[in-house]
Amino acid sequence: MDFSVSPDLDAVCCYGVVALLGVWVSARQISRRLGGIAGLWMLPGTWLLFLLYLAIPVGLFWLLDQTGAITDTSLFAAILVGGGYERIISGQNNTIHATGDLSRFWTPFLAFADNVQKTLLQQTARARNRLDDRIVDWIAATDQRTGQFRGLMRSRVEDVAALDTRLAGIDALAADLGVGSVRERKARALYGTAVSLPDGYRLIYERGIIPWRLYVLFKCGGDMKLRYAAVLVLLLAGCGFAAMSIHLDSGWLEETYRIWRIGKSTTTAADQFRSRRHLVLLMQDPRQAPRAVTDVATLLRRPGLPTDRADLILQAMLEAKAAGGAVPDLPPSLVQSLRAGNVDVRARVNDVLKFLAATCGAVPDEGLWGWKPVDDVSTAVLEERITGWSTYWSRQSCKAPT
Amino acid sequence: MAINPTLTADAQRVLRAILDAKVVRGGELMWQSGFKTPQALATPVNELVSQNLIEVIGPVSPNELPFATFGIPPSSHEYLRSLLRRG
Repeated sequence: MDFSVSPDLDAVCCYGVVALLGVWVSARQISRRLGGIAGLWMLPGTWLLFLLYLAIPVGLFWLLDQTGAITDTSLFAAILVGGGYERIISGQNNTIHATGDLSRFWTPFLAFADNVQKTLLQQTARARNRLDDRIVDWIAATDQRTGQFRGLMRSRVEDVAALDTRLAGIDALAADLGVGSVRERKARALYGTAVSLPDGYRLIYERGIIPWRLYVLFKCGGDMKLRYAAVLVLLLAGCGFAAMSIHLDSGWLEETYRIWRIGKSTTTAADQFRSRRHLVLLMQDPRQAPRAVTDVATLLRRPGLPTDRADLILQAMLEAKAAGGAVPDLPPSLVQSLRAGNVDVRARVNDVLKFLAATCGAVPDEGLWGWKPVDDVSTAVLEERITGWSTYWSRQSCKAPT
Repeated sequence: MAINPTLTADAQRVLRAILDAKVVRGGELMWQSGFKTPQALATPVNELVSQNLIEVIGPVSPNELPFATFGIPPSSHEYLRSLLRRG
């Protein structure tokens, strides 16, 4: 598939699409491997497995973008990865080919799913055994309940004679065990018959043999799930409280995101345009500008920053200034960008500094104007020029061009 | 786990019920796989347990079978389903 025909959306939207589809696929994975187990979603292990499954498409989307197989602003790629990452990993997708041998990728996930299943098996057994004991104790507490239960089971069981024989066998032990113990054994034997009937719990509840609270406990799968539900409610309440208490700086988030995008080497032209436009707006916002200008200028010093990105960043800075925004401290911040490792970036920054001086109507400094960073990469000379530019701009008062 | 075991029809029925339910108690397994008594269920269950095809928590004696809990690790699902398809 040619991804160039895909709508080009902001990367955050594409990652959102991948995550949303990932939620659906993860839930399907869990359901396929563990689905049908009562109380599955009450276990922390299930959620951990779910989050691991969810992390795969997001991680894969990032990885495929990094390797150049797709771009992370392609909606079609997002849909393909989010909805079909299992096929991509197993090498069955003809459109996107994951590099390397990923055939064993699922092994740890299956092992973890096995662990979750084992935990669930043990917890289910423990919870239901506890519930069984409570129900048997309740029934065995009185002769009347035991008698009523016996009558009900005799009316339902196919082989009445076998049931009677078993109960008679227990009765025969009365001399050794005592009345209470015999009643308990009989209740347990009858209870074993009840749980083997379809909807047996409902039957014994409706006949008034067990109270509603024991029936509700059965419906909830025992007290284990109630405890997890309580923990879940507390956790959600805690998260809600934390979300209300912590004030996230949305300006900082957007700035960090836009700086990531503009500095990223594998982006589309449309994405570069978006990043530039948003950064210009941020550098014009009086509240965001001081930090944004400093951070954008710092990006120019990042090792490995492609020269075309340096151009884009400098263009955004000059656009923000030309548009009459606040853009404070642009020259002092840019002076520090002369420390960039890439001499081409250094040369461009130097040119911009000269341009800014010209737009301010400042008197040119011959020593600085004659310097060509491309020809001279000596550390001492570079520091000398940086100090020279710093001193120069500390004497100037540059206003936005009119 | 046994490799390519031959299963009786009853054992296949029980295995299919456990595979569908993922985790199931003996009592429910009885009526889900169509057995009328725990004694009848005990035979195929023991066949599956002896071949290490299912996991069980609790005793599998006929009297205690309704209270035992059965399950199958997710990593074995595909293999066991193929076993059932093969018949």
